[in-house]
Amino acid sequence: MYGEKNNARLPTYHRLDVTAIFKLNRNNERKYQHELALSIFNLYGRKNPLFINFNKEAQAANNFKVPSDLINREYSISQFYLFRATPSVSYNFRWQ
Amino acid sequence: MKPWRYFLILLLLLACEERFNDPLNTRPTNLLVVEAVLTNELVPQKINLSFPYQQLNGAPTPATGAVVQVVENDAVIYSFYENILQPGEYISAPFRAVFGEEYKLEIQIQGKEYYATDSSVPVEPLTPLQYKMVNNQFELVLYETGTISNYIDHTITSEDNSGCMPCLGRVIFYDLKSIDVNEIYKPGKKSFLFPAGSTIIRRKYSVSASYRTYLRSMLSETEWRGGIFDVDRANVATNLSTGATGFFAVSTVISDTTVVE
Repeated sequence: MYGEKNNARLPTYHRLDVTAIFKLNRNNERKYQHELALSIFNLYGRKNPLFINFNKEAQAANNFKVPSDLINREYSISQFYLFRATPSVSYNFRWQ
Repeated sequence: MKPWRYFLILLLLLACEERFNDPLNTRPTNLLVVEAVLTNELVPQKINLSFPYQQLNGAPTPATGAVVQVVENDAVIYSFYENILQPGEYISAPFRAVFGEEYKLEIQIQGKEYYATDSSVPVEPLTPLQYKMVNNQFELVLYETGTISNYIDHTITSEDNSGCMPCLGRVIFYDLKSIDVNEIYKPGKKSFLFPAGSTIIRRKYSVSASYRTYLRSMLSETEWRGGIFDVDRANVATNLSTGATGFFAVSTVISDTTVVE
């Protein structure tokens, strides 16, 4: 237990997503439109914490386990984060 | 399944855990933390009172100067006195907290009063201690037994520190007879190994229904936190009156001692 409720904040969350959309129609008068989108989620690979744990010991780099021994233990704070830079491709098709 | 589908599933599950280095921003609080387990053993009973930790690996601030007593069935009063060698620890004269009686804890501190009540339930017999050899040392094999909720406290002492100052280690195995998804998918535990010649003192505690609720909520915030499926963070259950946390429990205890050879 570390203090009053709601007295701590996660670090600032920020990321940059970029998308390039390629229209595949040459003729805009057609009954349908379709396009290809290339995206990169979190372009600069920011490690945004998803949640933080206070109950584990560091065994080695990026290997954390809950201690069994209640006498000799040394907790460290660990964070989980999801994807860093993640590319994606999508195809959109719609009727006019 | 085609390889790209494995890749897609991998992407969906991908998460990394690493050390978090930002400092904790804490503020002192006067929330009283009560750690009290009375047992059926004829020994001086102990109650610890403290205020929350300010640092992750720090020590709790002891709550000193309290008036503490336990009342059995609204008739017999057991007074607790503060241990001058260990501030925050309150000790009674030897007495048993027995099955079938109701016990009420009363605390007065800093102009406030706190109350809690509990009764013990029976405990099932201990089953044989099991351990296995790992790299020329030993590791406990912990397993569920019986039908009633309980936990077993293993105090492990080596030949070198038979006075248990400090003990070699202490391992608690909780057997709450519940099906919790966050327990099933709890994070991995570090192995605790001990050498041949170690002495293991087991103490098996019975767990009443309200104590079980407390232990489940406490474990959900501690040992079971950080796995694949966590429950929402929440206050730990308590049987103490408003303004305090922790638990006042009355347990039936049985114990045995084993020397590992």
